Amino acid sequence: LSGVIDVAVVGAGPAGLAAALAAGDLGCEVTLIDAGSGPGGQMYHPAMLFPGRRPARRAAEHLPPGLARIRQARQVRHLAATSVGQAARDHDGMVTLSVGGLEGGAETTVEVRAVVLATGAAEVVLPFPGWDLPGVTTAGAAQALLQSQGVTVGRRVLVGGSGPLLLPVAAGLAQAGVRVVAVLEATPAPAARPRASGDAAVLARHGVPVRTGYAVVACLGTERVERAVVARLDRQWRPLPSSRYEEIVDAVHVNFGFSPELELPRALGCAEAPPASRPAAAVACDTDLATSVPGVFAAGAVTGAGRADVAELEGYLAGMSAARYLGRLTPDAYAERTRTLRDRLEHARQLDEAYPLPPGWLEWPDADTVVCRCEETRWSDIGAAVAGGARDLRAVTEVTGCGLGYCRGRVCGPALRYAVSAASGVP
Amino acid sequence: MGPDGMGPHRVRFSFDGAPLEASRGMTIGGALLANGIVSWRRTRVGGRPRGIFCGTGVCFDCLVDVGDRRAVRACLVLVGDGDEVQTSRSRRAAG
Repeated sequence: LSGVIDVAVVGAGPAGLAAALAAGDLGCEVTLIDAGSGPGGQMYHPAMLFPGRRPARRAAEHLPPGLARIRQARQVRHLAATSVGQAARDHDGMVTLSVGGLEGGAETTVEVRAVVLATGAAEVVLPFPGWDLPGVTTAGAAQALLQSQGVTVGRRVLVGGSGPLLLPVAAGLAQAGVRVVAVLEATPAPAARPRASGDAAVLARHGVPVRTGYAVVACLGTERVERAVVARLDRQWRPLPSSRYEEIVDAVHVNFGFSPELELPRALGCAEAPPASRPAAAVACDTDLATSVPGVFAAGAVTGAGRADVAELEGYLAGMSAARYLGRLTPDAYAERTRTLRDRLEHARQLDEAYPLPPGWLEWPDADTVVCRCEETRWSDIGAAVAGGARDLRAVTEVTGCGLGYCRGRVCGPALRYAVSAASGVP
Repeated sequence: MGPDGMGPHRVRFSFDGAPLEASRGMTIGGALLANGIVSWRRTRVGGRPRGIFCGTGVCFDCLVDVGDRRAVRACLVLVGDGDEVQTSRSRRAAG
């Protein structure tokens, strides 16, 4: 790595791949940086080649056709298994990124004229008693293990939470021979309308019930999850006491939406859009996907997009936007080239339903529930900190140490920010 | 088959001294799960068992030591032939 790069794209999921292709097609020299071993990100896992794998799932075909072109894109240099440590924007508008391998080693500094942030999002998980027992994982973890390695965590499982990830994960597990006892979508019908989809058909064929307005509110076990307590929820997600029942399971896979990865956007000073009905803040963008920082663009889940097709369309637009910023496209040519794209994006966004996160889940944890998995902060510690005058998550962190562990609050942060805000009344 | 009877798609590794096998290309976490092992670390305050949670490198629940590499995220790092995987002893992650 040397000299100045036209465009650095951070993240090789659908948004990042599309951005790299679009900017590359317009003559920009693109460097695509991603922690994964191959292109695809969390949405399209590079499948492992091993005996018995069905041909359709093999490595070469895991990307949709439009994005698979990344393998032949000459203008795009793909740095796999690489992450961006630090980022800063100089006075002259140049962005400096420090780039390094995953397992330590020397970091390299690169200078870039424009950046597309396609860093994606982490799964939001809400705490409940026993959520830290082995066998309880995010739905994304179950999906990643299954798609990329053919590994399943349990044989008799529940899939629960809220949002569009539940059905595909449950369908994949059912097809792999896992007994999926039920899919529990917390958002009550008819607000959650699982559209007639291939996933719904797969679940029906395997006799897997999809129950809306239900959630796993506790997991029981000693060395791993052995039983799950399921409850019916009211519209605010408060468990209805008489509705509680237990299921014998050896794994529970949960997801409550996504929280944008904001470390890099924050390092660059990008403004954020408030969470609205979503669980977490996202990078604020204009209609050209430019952030508040000149030369810095964003696309995909980091902007709040949920669906893969929205992320991909945003990626193409952000890539073209970066090319225009660098003078590779005139404003007229840009307007011409993006017209159809904008229409498709608008249409796709309409299908990208927001799943609300109502406050009834605050009744799920008990006093001893470990809410910060790293520092083992308990729910009662959070309550005591707020009662003692802490008004926001930063203040609670100072008192309790929650969010200061290995993961730097990326797992517990969204839920705790929500909980502290609800308790203190400070938004 | 190689001379030891292992197919080209298999690797041998150990967990806390116990010999195990896995498919080549699996992560350490995937390899442990494929062997029916769901937890491989204890928390330092409550001694609570931990294994795979996020599966994507975010949560650091799945830390293991591999040979002299400390606090490796089992969900990210591929299992290698002869890897000596051990319950993590470090407090802080390497990165």
